[in-house]
Amino acid sequence: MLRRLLLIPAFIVLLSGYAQAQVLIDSIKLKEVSIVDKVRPISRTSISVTLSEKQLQQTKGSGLAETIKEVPGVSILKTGSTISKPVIEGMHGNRILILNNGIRLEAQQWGLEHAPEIDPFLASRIHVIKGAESVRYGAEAIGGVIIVEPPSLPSSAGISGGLNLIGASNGRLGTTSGMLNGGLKSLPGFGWRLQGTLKKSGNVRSAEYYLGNTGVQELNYSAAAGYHTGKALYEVYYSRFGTELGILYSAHVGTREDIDARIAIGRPLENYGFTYNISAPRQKVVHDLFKAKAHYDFIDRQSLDITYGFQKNQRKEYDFRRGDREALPITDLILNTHTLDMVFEKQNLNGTKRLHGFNGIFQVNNNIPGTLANTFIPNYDSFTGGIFLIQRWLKNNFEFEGGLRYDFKLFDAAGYRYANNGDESSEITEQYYGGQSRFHNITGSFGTLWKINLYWQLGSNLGLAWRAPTANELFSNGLHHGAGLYEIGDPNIKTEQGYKWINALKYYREKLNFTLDAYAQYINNYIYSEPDKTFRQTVSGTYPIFRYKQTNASFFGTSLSGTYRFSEVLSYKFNAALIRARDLGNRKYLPYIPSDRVDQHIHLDFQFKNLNSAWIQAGHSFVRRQTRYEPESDYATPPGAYHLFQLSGGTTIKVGEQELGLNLSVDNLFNTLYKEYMNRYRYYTHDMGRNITIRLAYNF
Amino acid sequence: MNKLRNYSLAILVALIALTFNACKKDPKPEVPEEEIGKAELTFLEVEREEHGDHYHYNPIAEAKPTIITFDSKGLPPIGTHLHLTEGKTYKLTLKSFDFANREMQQEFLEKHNIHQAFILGAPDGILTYVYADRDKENKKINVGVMGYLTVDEHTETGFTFRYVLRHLNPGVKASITAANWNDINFASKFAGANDLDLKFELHPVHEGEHEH
Repeated sequence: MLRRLLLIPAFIVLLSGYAQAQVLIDSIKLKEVSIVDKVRPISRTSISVTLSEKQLQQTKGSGLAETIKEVPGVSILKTGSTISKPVIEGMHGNRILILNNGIRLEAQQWGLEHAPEIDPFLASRIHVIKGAESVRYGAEAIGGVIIVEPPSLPSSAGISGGLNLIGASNGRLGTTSGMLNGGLKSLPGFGWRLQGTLKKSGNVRSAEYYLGNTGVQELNYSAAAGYHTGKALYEVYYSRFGTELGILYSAHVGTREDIDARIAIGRPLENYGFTYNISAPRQKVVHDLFKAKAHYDFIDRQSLDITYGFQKNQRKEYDFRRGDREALPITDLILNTHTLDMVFEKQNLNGTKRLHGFNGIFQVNNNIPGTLANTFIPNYDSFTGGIFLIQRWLKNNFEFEGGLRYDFKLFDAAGYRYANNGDESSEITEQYYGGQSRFHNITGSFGTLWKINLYWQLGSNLGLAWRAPTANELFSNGLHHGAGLYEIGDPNIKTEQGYKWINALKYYREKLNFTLDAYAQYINNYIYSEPDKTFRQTVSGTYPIFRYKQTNASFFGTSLSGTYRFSEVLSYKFNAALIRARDLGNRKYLPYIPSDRVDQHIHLDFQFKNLNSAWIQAGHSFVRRQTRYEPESDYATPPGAYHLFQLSGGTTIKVGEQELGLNLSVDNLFNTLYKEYMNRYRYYTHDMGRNITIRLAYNF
Repeated sequence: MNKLRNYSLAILVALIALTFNACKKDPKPEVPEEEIGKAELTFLEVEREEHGDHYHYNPIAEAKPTIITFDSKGLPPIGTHLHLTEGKTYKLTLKSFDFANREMQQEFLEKHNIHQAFILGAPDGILTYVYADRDKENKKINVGVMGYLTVDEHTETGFTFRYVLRHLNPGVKASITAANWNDINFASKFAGANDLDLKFELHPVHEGEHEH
């Protein structure tokens, strides 16, 4: 396999050489001036929402999931206050795909308590695609795709940049983030960017008490450089995301007896107060990304994109341990991922377009020795190769896009566990586990956009997406420390396929605009884990056994969002979503499906003489109690419905040629004590209380 | 300009070659030293002597220890049924062993700020337990690796005696006193996980009552 993979760089060199030659020939023959603009990373037939730079400014300082939660149909799956995963129309984790600067994020995404390793300060725009667009983006895009897009690199001389300072009352959070962009006078077309973020937060507070060990520290930085000629664009990029975060003390449980006892109280009895210190249980994650990209425009509106990415994800998890072992990680994994993407695009004069593409992923996951604990995930090598074809047509008021894709995945795992036989001899036996699995899949998609008239537009997208089972679904076999459960995988688990049909009706006029989304999704071989009603007896007590299984599942849902402008000053915004999901195989409800929710805002816009603009917004959110759940597969009944209120405002002030933005927001205005169903620690604590955030942005 | 392109391509190829070399697949077995293998509880009769508001415990020369062993599942040998005598006091000591059969109860004493044992299962008024652990400076601490168990009353039938050694979450130990030794609400009041949960059948009997 290695020999095959070493051919890939050689292939890149050959292609690059050919492309350079083409560029040279073209420039000699034609001497035409062509404008290289940033390609919109999503298709027009995708059902998607884009968050602009202005919208992102209002949530700066939050993690990726909080940043996009305003998108209709998007919610958050939390593990306490420090870990948040985005949920698109009921799907999260390995069922949604995140593209960071064009590279699919490859981290230890299998864990519900693993947050995406992305610094939202990098983004100038974030796109959320809600369709199952596996054809274009590859496996795992079952529930949707999140595309984090950084600003374009400058191509002319001069230095510009921005500085963000953020402070928040809850957790006494402080964040500094800066960005510098520049070009060279002596080298037109060359641009560079440096960016960095430093974040520190301590124990957060619910409405009535501090949540022990909920501090976060982050240091992220990136550097990018690019050069473009009339026909070609070259880019290199490096980023590091480094975080250390505490796991709520109260959520650390041992046996089922502990869990039941803690749930009966529903809140910690210990008073921890405020501290910035982070101790076990904690996570330390470092994610490095290197990217090199080349784009070439050939004659006849043809272009080629070649993107190579390398990611190194190191995850260390520390737990309460015996003796002095708390300084040792109980899980220490390094996942190296190489990706190679090639897309050849041909546009015709009539607007039709065809894309041919190849995606290759090679991964090596290793447990780092020295944990003195059984490995939860085996070492593995994985190779995925996919080819695709996408065709776009235009006809009168219609746009169509259809695509086909074939993927192959080879997964080769190997691990050792030690097990004690439990007999008098207490003999330790070494058990080898793992094996080779092969997965094939054909996926397809079809999307259409109908511009009915100037005000109405209807989009529809039908997609088949897939994902191969992950290492833990196949091979986990051990006590999930701190979670109070014993997880057992199944090496015979098959691939999961999702068929999603999503429609979006859009209306836009000056006074009123709205979008109504409706979708239906069927998932074949939906992978999930649930208690099998047996228990594992150990010297420290009895633990429920959770096994990975497969079923077929259906998801139906709708979301409505819109704005009504009463006047130039006053407007009303509305956003509501509901999801209905069923386990069809067992005729049951699925766990962790967001409950019905409504958000509404009254927004006031002002224009002043010396200020560019100012705004004030008052918001209200209502979240219903989740009534669709199975009592036997959950520890406790879902928490009750709740209302939250929010107040925010902002202004932009001109300081000479520069711009200073000021933004103040108060979340959970009335300091409501509440629990959210989608927080995995709702059994043990309440959610965050009032939080006042001030954001200063200086751009030059 | 061509030079710049060539240099950047050369760097790209070198980086790819370097990163591919970093691959390795072979797993290394990791001995899980974390796990606790088995445990022993030893009961040795002592003489309890009253000294004002507290007791002194004196050894009895001819006393013979009774040792109950527990396997890695926390279970004693099948049919274990221990008789202790009403009015007598026993020194109760714990020995626990790690995965490789090394004694490790000293760790609980060294980390006494996060460990405490609870003695459970007895009906009210049957047993009294007093912690008798000492730290490195010989200062009294409440852990439960060593303690004195007095049988105040006998019972008609046996009950499941339960020894739970709790690994407490940070800050929890401060809220536990010696009087909590038999607190049945230990799981909700004293957050943490169990390092040991040992159970066997105990029957407090009258002096001279026959084995059954």
